[in-house]
Amino acid sequence: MTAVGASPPRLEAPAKASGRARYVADLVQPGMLHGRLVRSPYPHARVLAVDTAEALATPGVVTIVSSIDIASRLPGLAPFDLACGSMERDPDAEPLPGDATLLGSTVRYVGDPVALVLAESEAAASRAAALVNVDYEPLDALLTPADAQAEGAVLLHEGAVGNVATRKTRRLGDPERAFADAAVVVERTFVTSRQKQAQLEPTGALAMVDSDGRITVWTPHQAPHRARYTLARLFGIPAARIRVIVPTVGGAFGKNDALTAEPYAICGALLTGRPVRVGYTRQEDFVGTEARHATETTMAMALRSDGTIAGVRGRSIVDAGAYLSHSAAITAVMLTHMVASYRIEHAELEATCLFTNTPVNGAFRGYGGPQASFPVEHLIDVGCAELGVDPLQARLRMRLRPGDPWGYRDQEITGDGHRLCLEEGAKAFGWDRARAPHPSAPGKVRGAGMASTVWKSGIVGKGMDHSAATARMTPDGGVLLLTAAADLGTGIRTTLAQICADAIGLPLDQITVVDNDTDLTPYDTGAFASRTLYRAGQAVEAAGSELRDRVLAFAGSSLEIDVADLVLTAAGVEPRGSPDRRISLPKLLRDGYLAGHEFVGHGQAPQTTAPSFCAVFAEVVVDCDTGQVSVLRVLAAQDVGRAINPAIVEGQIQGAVHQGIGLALTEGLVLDPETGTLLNGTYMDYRLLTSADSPRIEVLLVEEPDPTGPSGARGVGEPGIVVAAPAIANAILHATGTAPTRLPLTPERVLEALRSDSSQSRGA
Amino acid sequence: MNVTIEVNGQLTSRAVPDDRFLCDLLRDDLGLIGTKVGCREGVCGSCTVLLDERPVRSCLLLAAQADGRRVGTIEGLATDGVLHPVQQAFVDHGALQCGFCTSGMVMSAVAFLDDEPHPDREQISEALAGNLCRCTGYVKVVEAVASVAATEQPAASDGPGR
Repeated sequence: MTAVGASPPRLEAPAKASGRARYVADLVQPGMLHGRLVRSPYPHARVLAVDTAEALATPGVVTIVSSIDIASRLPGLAPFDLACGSMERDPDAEPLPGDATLLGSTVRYVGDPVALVLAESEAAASRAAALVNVDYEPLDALLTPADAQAEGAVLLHEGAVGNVATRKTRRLGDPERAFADAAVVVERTFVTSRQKQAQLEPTGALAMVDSDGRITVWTPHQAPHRARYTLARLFGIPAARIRVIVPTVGGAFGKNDALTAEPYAICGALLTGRPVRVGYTRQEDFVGTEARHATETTMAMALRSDGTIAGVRGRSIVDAGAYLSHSAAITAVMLTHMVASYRIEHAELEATCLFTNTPVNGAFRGYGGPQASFPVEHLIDVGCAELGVDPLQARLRMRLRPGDPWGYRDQEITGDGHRLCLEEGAKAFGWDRARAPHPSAPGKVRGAGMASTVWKSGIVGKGMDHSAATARMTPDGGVLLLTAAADLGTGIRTTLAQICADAIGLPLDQITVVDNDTDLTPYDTGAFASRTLYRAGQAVEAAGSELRDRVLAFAGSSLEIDVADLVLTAAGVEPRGSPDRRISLPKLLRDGYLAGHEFVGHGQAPQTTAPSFCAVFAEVVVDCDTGQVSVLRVLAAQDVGRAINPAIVEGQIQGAVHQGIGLALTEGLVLDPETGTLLNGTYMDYRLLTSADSPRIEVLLVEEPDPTGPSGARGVGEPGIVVAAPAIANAILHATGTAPTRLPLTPERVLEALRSDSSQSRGA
Repeated sequence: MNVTIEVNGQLTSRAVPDDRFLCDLLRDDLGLIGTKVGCREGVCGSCTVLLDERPVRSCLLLAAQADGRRVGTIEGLATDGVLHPVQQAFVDHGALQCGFCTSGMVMSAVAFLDDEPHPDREQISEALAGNLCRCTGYVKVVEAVASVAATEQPAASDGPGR
């Protein structure tokens, strides 16, 4: 029996179901202190003085370090890249404008840390943090990208001329001609919100300095190796003296692809010589960790009479927030993704990403994709409505076909998954019936919409994406699989164990995975970008194969049988068809180990990527009196290449689509326009969908193998969130003839769109 | 003050500060880390435990308020290492991903099924609305709970699932 294609429960599921899994807040070290950050109430200010006398007098407080004294107490700190790109950057390069400084002397958003209180208990640290008196000199604050671009605006970061974090352009073909020849041109301005990952586990990290000066840090980071290199550079110590361990992760969704509490925990441990855990409150998590970039895109789309895209023109403003982090990469992905899902030959796109005095924006599942797909997918439907064309058929006509060039890489489209997701998805959803006019209750209208995407597996840029794995057979015939593809709750640990089991030829229960320790695991870029299964899976498959070959080679030489005639099973190694000559693994391996052999396989992922295809269909009811949108049902059809563990794959797609529905209907951080203070930084105020207001999400798996993927698998985790919001917007458009273009699509905005549409119709 | 609480069937007496919350007593004093704290505001439901068999937010309840009463946590559900049917259903149905909400979700489901052993999907969705999950979209969570209830509906006939 093969492991790939089966759905065994997650390896850690029983521990999680019985409360035994240990997250960072569950970890305790003897003598451990608790850290609490003091955060700025100003969006932009210079720190003039920090008075800690009253706070230090609080019982239980050990020490307080602040912007004023950190440089003298911890000399040699360097500016650092919040996004942990330190491996990819030139080691000799100067810091970039917008890199962060630990407890810097200028604060750049409401919530930027100014001081770190270290105390014997969390309660004491919190009490004392409220007593730290900071003297600020407030500076002009740039609370919006418009402020940042205004003439004479202050400069937030030296070297960032015009407060521009990054600017990208992309031109394809001859857009002027495409627009001149178009059957219809539609244009709208789209606004997307700062969506928060809002993972259930509050951010935290625990750091400890060993007697030999080595630092161990426990953190739910998505990329422990990149975190290690970035922390090494920040603290000016060799990377080998930092060990990053990832405990059970309580959800990440991109938030933990940046440094958060780790530098503060290490700072505290270095200053006190004691273990330090820094745990953020939920409010700190909302304001002090990165969110999805807010964007404003004005896009014009030229369509041919059959509803296909002749050309696209777009101009986007992206809000980086206070520091650089992932902004350059996300802006690049956003522009690429605007032309990567269909045959689009003519385009002129520009995106400007600006620094503002607001919380930092960074990685969130989809990484620029939702911000690109919302305008593109909605304009297709607006254009098709004007043309009287079925938007599903339009998408089918311009879909990407096998062998087509692809916007993301100089690599061809593999497989016919785009067509299959559109066609099979439409069939399973009942597209034609759902698009037919429905009788509705008075004041309510019903509609159906869809959207599709061609997404990528892994990082777009070449040479930035690396996975390696090691499989080692222990003398008793078990296998230790070492990989740094951290399991954030995704089920990747189980999935990789399945791939490894099949590559070697052993049952799943022989495989033990260690995926959380930089001291033990080979380098891996991390768990994000729909890359973990695809890329780490490739490495694991290669490592398993090499291990099997080594074991068979040794068996061949000791049994004096040609390797090609040997098979490896859980029972041992035997000549094909001669179980009587079987040698058990423990016996074979004992002989091998005693003779000085080691049974290890290494694998490395090639520098490839694979397209993954997804179509999301949604049916909604809109209450025309209140603007309330109810999502009746959603279906996601996704080409995953090969579902290694179908239950895990379904769960990933359901989760991605669900977060996309949240983006569509309720989610977005709101900042006070006067002060820059976050207004909805609690679960009470930031509306996540509950089980009672979530539709059933059906998943249709399409399995068109990719030739490079492990067992044919393609990336899974992100496509659903990329197109769920436009599918819902398009359903609203179908139901009512209009839809707001500002996320989230709240009842107020839906009503406003309905009213302006009817007044326009009356005027016409 | 001194509190005496029956936790998972065992009587425990402790001197606690007046302002100690039940979740902290459970986690820090008793080492019952299965109860998770996601917000400390009584919204996310991760810290849900049973107080005299009723689900409560242990981050909003003072330890003192549990004095003389019975508290049930996730650690008390399994018997002799055999998972409670709700726990087992979460494992079998892939109803947990990161697992951080799972303890609270399971406790809410256990209490709900005690009251309503034969719920339909809509009732289950309503009953779990006080427990946020960010990973699953609740689909498999509802499936898991429905599988424990004897009245599981066939998938085709249960409409939009609202």
